[in-house]
Amino acid sequence: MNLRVLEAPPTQVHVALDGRLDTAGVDAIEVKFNAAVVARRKDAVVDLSALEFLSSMGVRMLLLAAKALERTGQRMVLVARGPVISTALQHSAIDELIPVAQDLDQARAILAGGRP
Amino acid sequence: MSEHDSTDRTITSLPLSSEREVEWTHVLVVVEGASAGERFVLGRELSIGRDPTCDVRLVDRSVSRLHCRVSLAEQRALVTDNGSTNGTFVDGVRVQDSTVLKPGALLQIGDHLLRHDVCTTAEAAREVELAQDLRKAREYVAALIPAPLARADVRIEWAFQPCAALGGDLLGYHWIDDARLALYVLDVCGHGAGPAMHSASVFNALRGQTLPHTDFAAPAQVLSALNQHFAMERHGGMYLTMWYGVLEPRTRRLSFASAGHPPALLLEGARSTRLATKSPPIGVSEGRRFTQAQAEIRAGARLWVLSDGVFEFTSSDESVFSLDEFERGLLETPRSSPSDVQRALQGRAKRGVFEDDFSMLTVSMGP
Repeated sequence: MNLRVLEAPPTQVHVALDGRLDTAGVDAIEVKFNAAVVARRKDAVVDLSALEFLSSMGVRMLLLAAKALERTGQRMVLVARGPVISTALQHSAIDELIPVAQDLDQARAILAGGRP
Repeated sequence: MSEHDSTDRTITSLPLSSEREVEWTHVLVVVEGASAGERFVLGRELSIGRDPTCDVRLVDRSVSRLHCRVSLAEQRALVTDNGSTNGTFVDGVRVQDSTVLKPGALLQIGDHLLRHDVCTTAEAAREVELAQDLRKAREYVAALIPAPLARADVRIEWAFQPCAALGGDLLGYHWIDDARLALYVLDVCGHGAGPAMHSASVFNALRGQTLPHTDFAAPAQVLSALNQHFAMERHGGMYLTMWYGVLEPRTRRLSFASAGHPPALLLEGARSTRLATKSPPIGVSEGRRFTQAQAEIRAGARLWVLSDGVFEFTSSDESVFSLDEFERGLLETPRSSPSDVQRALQGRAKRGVFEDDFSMLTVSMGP
């Protein structure tokens, strides 16, 4: 399980996850993820495109981070392509709480669209 | 020197911790396999095998009845293979006769992996106590589930297996009145005693029908009431997913609602229909309104309500099992009981271990 912090505009954070975001994957990156995404207090784009698998524990990590950002007035947008991750997001209905974009441009457009 | 001075003097004669006599205990911790999480204190000797008389009994077909033994002499642990069929391995090397088991070494026996830990006797006692508490919590959770139901008009069966770390699953059913049955599977996200306790609270609110101003025959109302009462902000950040249905056996009508939960599968002949209403998990979105839907369970059809632990596990070939594969498997063996399915899936799981709680409830109707 890997987390990469990518270049982003000054008001945003952009991270990409790859591997299996299951219980072991969450154990491996949760602290790093929260440090990179939640602690920065910026809008965040979390790219899940390279994830092979997203379990309920992975969904939990994303949801708790999104809720933490929400409490300080920031938003999280997910980038997800491919049926495996999209199906996991739909089953958990997490896509009703965290916006899901098809690519980075769409994610940034959602963030630029302001807060609901 | 004044009286005050004498009582206020810094004491320098306490023994430093390194000078204290520390008593060490050797422990075998099951880190992988069906008995994962269990701990065994190594006194003079531990026998390990499949036989019920063994000190460490491993329910594992690849383990011989009296597989091996670990003995301790002068703080040195020694593994001796008893001529087992599949061998005993220490850090990946097969034990020919006897081998020293160093602290931290991994002992592989069949699909089980055990680690040799050395800790203070006080630490060992605490760990054993914690493991016992977890076992009791697991037993309490399992005891909440009602017995299977076998009537001429409706039959309910289930399979439930908490994972080693104890997850937040529970399943159950109860009669709302003479004509209607409530059915539910819930999953509090996370592992350990906290989610298990939260799960038991939600379960008891359902079973006792104690949510105020709630019609328990209306699934959407039940989920809305739970969402209001179990908001994650007031429950240590915990939330849950759930599938809740109400069945009227006389008419075979089923009303259902789900929240962030995998769909239930209604199997009828060669067809499977996924039953779910799309809503986020319970507790995460205050004021959320839930919706419900209807279906009919015809004679010969069978409803499978499950938690994600049933299909989210790593197979022996390292691939991740999926709901699609699970559904295909059910269609191929429609007469299997939940216990049959559980056994078959356990056989596919890597080292025979489910990574999460395994919960499955089935409903079939009489002719």
